[in-house]
Amino acid sequence: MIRQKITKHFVPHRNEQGQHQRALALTVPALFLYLQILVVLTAGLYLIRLKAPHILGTAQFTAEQIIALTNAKRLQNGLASLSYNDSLSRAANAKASDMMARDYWAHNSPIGDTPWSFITRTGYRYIFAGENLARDFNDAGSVVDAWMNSPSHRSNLLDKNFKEIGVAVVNDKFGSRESTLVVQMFGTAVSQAPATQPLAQTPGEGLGQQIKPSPVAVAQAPASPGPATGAVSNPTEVTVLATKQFSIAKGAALGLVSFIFLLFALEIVVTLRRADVRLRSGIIAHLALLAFVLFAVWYAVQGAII
Amino acid sequence: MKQFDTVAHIFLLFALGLGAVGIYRSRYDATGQFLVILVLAVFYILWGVLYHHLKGDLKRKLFFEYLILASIASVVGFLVFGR
Repeated sequence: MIRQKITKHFVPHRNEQGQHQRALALTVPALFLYLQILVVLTAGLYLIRLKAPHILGTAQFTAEQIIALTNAKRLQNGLASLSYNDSLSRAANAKASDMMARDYWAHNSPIGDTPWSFITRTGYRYIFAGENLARDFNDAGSVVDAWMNSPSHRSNLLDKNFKEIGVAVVNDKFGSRESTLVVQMFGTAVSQAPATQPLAQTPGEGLGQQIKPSPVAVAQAPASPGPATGAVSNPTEVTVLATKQFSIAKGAALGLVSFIFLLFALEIVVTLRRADVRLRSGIIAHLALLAFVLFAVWYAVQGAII
Repeated sequence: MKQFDTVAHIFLLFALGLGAVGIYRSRYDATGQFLVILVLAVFYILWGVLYHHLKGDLKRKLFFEYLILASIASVVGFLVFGR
């Protein structure tokens, strides 16, 4: 008796009048309940992130780690390490602060500042420059891995023309909530010009720019203070939000959607086994939509890069 | 009618397949992925209404079923990709 009652919740069955009934856990009110659970969970996580983000944990995250990991990737690919440059680091910090202040997430600012504007303002005269951006990652390794998985960002990381690097990791209010921005600036100073000019580079999502040694804009900039080589002289350790929000959201979404998906799949299997019952209209479509949602959630990654 | 069912479902699967490609291609662009889910959720409701209307079995309960499932997809999209 108890088993029958439980089964009715998950398996299609016949009622007292002999009519075919779907599983109780797949009725419209039950589906509405799942929707409500998701809305409450989403609102709860959103409010926590907004009002008390530290509940979701913090982590240490440094520009030095990004530089070290970038150089490790370059060495793995047979390229020379990049030297830390204070001007590029200041340019990266200025870019991160500008994005926070003007509330934009792009290589070019709303008032038309390009990444190169930030670099030249520090007095760094370059022949090659590039920029990679990332936000909302929990650790340096995830940032560099994400860049390595994107062809345009990877080409910046592994560009043999770049000699120097500066990185900013900034955690502050971005839009309405706390966020972590990572700005990675690459450059080769005029003084480090190679003997031969390489081919022009196509800017991708991760921006790279190569220009001849004396374009007007760069020639007007003050002389570079000169690269500081070797270890990072002024690493900035920033406490960032270890956004457990993502793993909680992903886990909950996968769990709930899988549950509904399996119930629909079970209904199809049970119905096909019974000769006297017809497959409910629209059920294949529901299953296909849920499969798509499961794929999207499973494939989701934390953080964003441009 | 069987042929109509087949064509309609192939059309839906094609759209969902396109959406999956969109999700795949916009990895690390949470906003883009969320937009793909949102567009497909709206498409799903329209597809459901049209499909059942043409079949002649569109009922309020069925409409709510599509609406709720599309809403679940959208809320899941916001939960996971809303940054």
